[in-house]
Amino acid sequence: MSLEDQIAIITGAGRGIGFTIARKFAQHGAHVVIGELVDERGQEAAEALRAQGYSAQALQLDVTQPASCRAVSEKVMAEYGRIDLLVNNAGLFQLYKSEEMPEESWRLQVDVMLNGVFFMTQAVARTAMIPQKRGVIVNIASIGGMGGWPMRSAYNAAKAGVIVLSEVLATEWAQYHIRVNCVSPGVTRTDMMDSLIKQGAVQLEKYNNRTPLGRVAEPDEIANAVLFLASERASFITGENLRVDGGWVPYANLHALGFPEESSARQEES
Amino acid sequence: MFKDQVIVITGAARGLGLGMAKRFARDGAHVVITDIDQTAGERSAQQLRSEGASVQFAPLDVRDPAQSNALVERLVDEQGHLDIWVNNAGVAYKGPAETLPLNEWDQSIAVMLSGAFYCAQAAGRQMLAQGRGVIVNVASVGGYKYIEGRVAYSVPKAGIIMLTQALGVEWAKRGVRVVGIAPGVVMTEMVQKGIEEGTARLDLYERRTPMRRLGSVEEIAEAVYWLASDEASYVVAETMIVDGGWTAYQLF
Repeated sequence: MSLEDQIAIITGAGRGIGFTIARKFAQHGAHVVIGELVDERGQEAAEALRAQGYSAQALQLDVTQPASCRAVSEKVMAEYGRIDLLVNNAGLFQLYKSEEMPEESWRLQVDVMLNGVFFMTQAVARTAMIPQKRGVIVNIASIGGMGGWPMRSAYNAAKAGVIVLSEVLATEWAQYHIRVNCVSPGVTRTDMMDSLIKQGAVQLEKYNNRTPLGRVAEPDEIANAVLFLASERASFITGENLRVDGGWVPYANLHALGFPEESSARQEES
Repeated sequence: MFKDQVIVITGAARGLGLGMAKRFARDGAHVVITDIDQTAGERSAQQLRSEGASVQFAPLDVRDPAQSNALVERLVDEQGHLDIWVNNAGVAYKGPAETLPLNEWDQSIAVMLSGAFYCAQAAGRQMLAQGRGVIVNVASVGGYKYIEGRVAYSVPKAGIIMLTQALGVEWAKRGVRVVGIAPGVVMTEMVQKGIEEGTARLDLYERRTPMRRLGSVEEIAEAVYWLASDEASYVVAETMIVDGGWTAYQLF
């Protein structure tokens, strides 16, 4: 198994893509630490993995607080003596027209998805990866970080920041044998997406049609890419942003629908 | 700004190239319109001359490096210098990749990629010898993002973006700036004709573009003019996108 006995922290892994990554890692032999803002959600997710016979635990984590990042890193170090893998997955999005974006929403999104990635990465690198001269970091960016999507100014700007942050850290920490890469998922069929579809807030058809492959991604397809980059098979890959988007970004999409005025209702996803 | 400078534009008998010719001519430059279509090229040059511009036509098949070399030699004999070269000549074959006739692929590469290199080499040698000059390569948003059925067009256009980086980097220290422009959909006569004949749909283009309209020939010409000017003196190996936001927009 490709992650046999590896110690892996995955942030925001209580549900969605993060949980799928956690389960995938566990299936491949890793000891999984779920970092979750909502402790109960993390505990339930860890319990679900343990019930399937995997090694998993959950720790409460607020990535926007460097102290919380340090506490989680130190706790994992105290228990296992090393941290091999970190997946920065925690995120959320809130849709606003940019002219109406409240300051607190802008700050929250940038705080979780850009500042939080840096704080957590710094904590794990300092506590474990730099001293042990070994480690792999995979950041979950987004194809949103590679272009303009109306009403997602904070989300896309934060994700673009993560892509370059990963390049910077990759170049800086290669000397410590730490690889840093990004996975940029396209639109993915998470539970959250399913519920938005059921509410009528999201029309799956539009996403399917925009994608050269003709469909959105399954969470498992994203997790497969993260697993590959986290594994030794990717030992020469660092500073790379791997798109897993069914061809979305390179597609010029001549048959565009125009610019739907989406509801300014807040939609969130962790 | 370009008064008395010698400016060569390939494929300039009509469309974008002709628009560029007009822009530089208006500024007092000596413009050399080149095209494989001699009749249309002569006509356009004659038209501009009748408006008082300093314009000449020179037939040029960019696929043949002997022709571009000979043209550069002749112009330097006549004018003493060569200041700007715009690689604009192009062909637009459309069709699915699996059935694309190979000669259409070969022609696309020969004109838009190899042709641009042959011309850049001919012009670049002279410019390097002068220690100054600007080469502008006309790429396309199709070189960055893909539209179905444009494999023959998009691939050489992507190639020219890297050609601009290659030559731009290689020659930067020796006074020759190499830059590029990537137009979006522009209302040229060719696009106009496609719309009239029903092979191109205006509404699709408009809907796809954040500015909700096509670009004008003048807007592209103005961008090329600026890139070629000293106002862009620190712009090197860069392909500037002029597309009303097409490339940036990536939602539905």
